[in-house]
Amino acid sequence: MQQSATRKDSSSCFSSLSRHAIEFSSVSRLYPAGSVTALEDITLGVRRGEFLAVVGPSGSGKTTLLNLMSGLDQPTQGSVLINGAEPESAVKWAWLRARAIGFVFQSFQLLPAFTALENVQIPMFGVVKSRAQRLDAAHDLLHRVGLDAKRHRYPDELSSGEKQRVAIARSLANSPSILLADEPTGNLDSRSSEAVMHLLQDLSRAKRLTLVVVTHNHAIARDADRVVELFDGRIASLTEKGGL
Amino acid sequence: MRLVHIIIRHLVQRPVRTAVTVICVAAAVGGFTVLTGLGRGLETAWNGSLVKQGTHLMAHRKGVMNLLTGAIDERIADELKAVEGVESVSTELIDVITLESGASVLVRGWPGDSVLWGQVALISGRLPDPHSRDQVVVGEGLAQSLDIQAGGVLSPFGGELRVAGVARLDNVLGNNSLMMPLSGLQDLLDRQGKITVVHLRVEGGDHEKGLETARARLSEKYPQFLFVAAQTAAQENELYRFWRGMSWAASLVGLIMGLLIVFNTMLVAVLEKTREIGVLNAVGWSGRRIITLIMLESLALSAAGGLAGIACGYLGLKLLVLHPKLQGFILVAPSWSALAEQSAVILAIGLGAGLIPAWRALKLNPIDALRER
Repeated sequence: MQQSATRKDSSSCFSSLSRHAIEFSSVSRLYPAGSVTALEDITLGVRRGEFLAVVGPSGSGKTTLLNLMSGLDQPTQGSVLINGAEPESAVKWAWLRARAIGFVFQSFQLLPAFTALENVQIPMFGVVKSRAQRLDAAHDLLHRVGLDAKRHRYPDELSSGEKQRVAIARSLANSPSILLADEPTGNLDSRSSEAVMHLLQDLSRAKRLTLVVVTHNHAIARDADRVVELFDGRIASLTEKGGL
Repeated sequence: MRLVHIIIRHLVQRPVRTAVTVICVAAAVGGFTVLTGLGRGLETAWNGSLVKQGTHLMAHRKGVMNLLTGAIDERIADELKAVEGVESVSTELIDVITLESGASVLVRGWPGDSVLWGQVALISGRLPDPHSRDQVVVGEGLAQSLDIQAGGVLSPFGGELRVAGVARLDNVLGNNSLMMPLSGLQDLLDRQGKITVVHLRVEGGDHEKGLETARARLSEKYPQFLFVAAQTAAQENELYRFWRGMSWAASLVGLIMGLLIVFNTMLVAVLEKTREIGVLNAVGWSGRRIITLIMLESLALSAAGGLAGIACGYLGLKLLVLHPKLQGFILVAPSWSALAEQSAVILAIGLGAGLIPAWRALKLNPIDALRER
């Protein structure tokens, strides 16, 4: 029942391409080793500016979905469109990740040899040509995530919550239109989780970003505009806000 | 932050490995600098000296690998003088003798009427008596290194040579050799009536075309001799070529070792930085930028080691040519061609060593890379 509702919603979304930041059309991802099907026949449209939460048990395909959205992984079947176009090569995907898609990881993925300020500048190479502009933008982003005072600290000198805030600042480095977050509060205590999620939502609202968050946390999912629930690589349900 | 800061940070992150790699490359490039520098120094000293003393063409016996062991009948001079276009002929017997002090000395014998005596500017004493058997003039550089003055005595393998004078010559070989009447040296070496080379001045010899014409004419008339231009005398010498080939081969072994060490360092670095490469990929770094990062890191290692190697190599060369056995035979001077050769070697090591690690970095699956601990 829920599955059919999902399909109806997805197909209606595809009628207006311009409304979608991300579009999945019959996407499957099969891992040859062990013939594991991570995702099967997913059709989904993520509207521009919406906050979509992806929930589901471990192994349901949440991270694979996010990896496919960012082009870090490629579907074995179907197509993924970003802003209405299908990136046809790894080069194009890299270009999109640099300019249009920001990524926040559960384990922060900060480079340990670089300070917070330097970590935020890393994605700007090749996009922001001027060194001074990179520095100014990084300062500004760290200010926005409240880490001005700790900009010269290395990742191992920061708390988990602070690390994730640096990671959020880094994901926004090139003013992307899409922000993907893979369990961004997974390694944080409840207080930090709340702060990080507020930050993510505030920033994405302020910039009208499309925010896709993979989470186990139902409190986070409650704040989302829509919630996709995955089960065994398929969409089990797609719920509009207030439906949870 | 610039790309160079990332590279420096990476290199500083593993100081011991970086230092060892740089030292190994420095040793390889230093060895290359010394070995090729010796050859180039010999070439510069020899060719330069011939040009400065006014030789256009030098004739020696064909097929003789070691020029010093060649023996030509000294009467050939009269025949050569008669050839059309030959302005002057100067015979010379050259050899290296070892003094009782252990120093190896280049000794040159010239006939009393040779124009070669004209380049000898006395600082002290006088020229040797043309008929003497044991009088020599000592070049200024050699006199200083042997600490000898006019009136002194040199002792080659039990004999005695009296220093008639000390002279300054306009070329490095002359300044670091002994000069004596030809007959005296023939007696000393037991090579009566023999000479080693003939120096010729020819009409139009200051220009390539005139030189080639004379060379062709003389080569046709005297096929048993090799006539070489003063500017390329060293390069056309078989022994020199053999030595240069050997030094290149030895250098190559060292350079390959250097390349392998940088390659190993970069390969390990890529393996260690798998997660970092995954992060760079995830934040939108293109494959080209990641390759550039790895290649530049490899080049930085190669350049740091290479520059240290060049500096150490030149220092080593300077010290080496002070050795009594080598003094005066080799002129060490940095040259653009040497620098170009060394730069090419550094570039080849850096690019060659970085290629496969960069390729591996490019081929990393970003998802697997991000999972790496």
